[in-house]
Amino acid sequence: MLVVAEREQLPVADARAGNAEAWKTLFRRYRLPLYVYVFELVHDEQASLDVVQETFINAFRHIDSLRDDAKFGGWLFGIAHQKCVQQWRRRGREMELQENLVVDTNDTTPDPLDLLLREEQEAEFMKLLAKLPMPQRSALLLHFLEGFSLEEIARITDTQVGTVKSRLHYAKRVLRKLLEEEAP
Amino acid sequence: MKTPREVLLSQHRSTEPHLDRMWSQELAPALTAKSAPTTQGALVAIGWKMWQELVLPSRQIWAGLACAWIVIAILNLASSETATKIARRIQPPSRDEMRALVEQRQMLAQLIGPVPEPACVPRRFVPGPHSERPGQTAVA
Repeated sequence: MLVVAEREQLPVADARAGNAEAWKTLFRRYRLPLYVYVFELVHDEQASLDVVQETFINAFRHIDSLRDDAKFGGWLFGIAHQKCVQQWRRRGREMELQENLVVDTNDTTPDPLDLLLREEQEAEFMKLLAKLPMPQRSALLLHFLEGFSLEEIARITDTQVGTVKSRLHYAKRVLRKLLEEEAP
Repeated sequence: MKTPREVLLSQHRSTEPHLDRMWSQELAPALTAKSAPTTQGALVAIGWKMWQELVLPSRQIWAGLACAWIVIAILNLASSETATKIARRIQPPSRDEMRALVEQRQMLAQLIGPVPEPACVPRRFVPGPHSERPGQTAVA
């Protein structure tokens, strides 16, 4: 079942006050989804671990800039996203940040649970995900991992809601089509 | 059948020990160093909590009050006069007025004579009965 950060009772207020136990709880909650998000964008284990570490250190330092405690997850992924973009720029992979979008504004808000995978499709799903352009992959990962809304994904990736909508629609269409082709 | 989230997390489950080591070796010490109790930090936390609990929930009311105060301040500034303006407007009495005042005083002194200064006689202490002294009530 998908866990949505906003519905959880996370000790963000305690973390803000500098409570180490509260930070540990937050770390345990977000360490793996955050790592998965970063790894699937940069495809380098050590670099991903470094980004996760830097993200949490930044979060410790700048928790006072978080306006709404309920948005902690989105804020944390936003820090990680910025670090991933910096990694990509350092590696000179600007071209991969570009994308060709089929804009479809009539698409309804997608549900992260509307795509279910059989066991034999898992490896193929991971491969197909890696083939998507970075902006679409990023939107799809945020949508799948944390069930963030379009507005939250737009905030995390610093883009327009309409652009996020198009990216998700396009990425999911490509994934579904390829998975259908692979199916026996 | 699995959701994409379950697939993604299960693919990277093996990294959890690395992440836990990261917490104990890097992040927990960094956090301890950062959260060493400081008065300034505590004040900031209290200030932030008050801002969130008192101001943010009723920000429209606060904004309305702020607007009202700004309007009052503008009206007050527009209608008030400075001390120098008032002093400039009030002219000192003329020489004729001053002379008339001195003459009136002299005339009054001729009519009723000089007013004697009241002599300052020290009051003598006269002891009164115990029942009239303040704060001393006999209890039977």
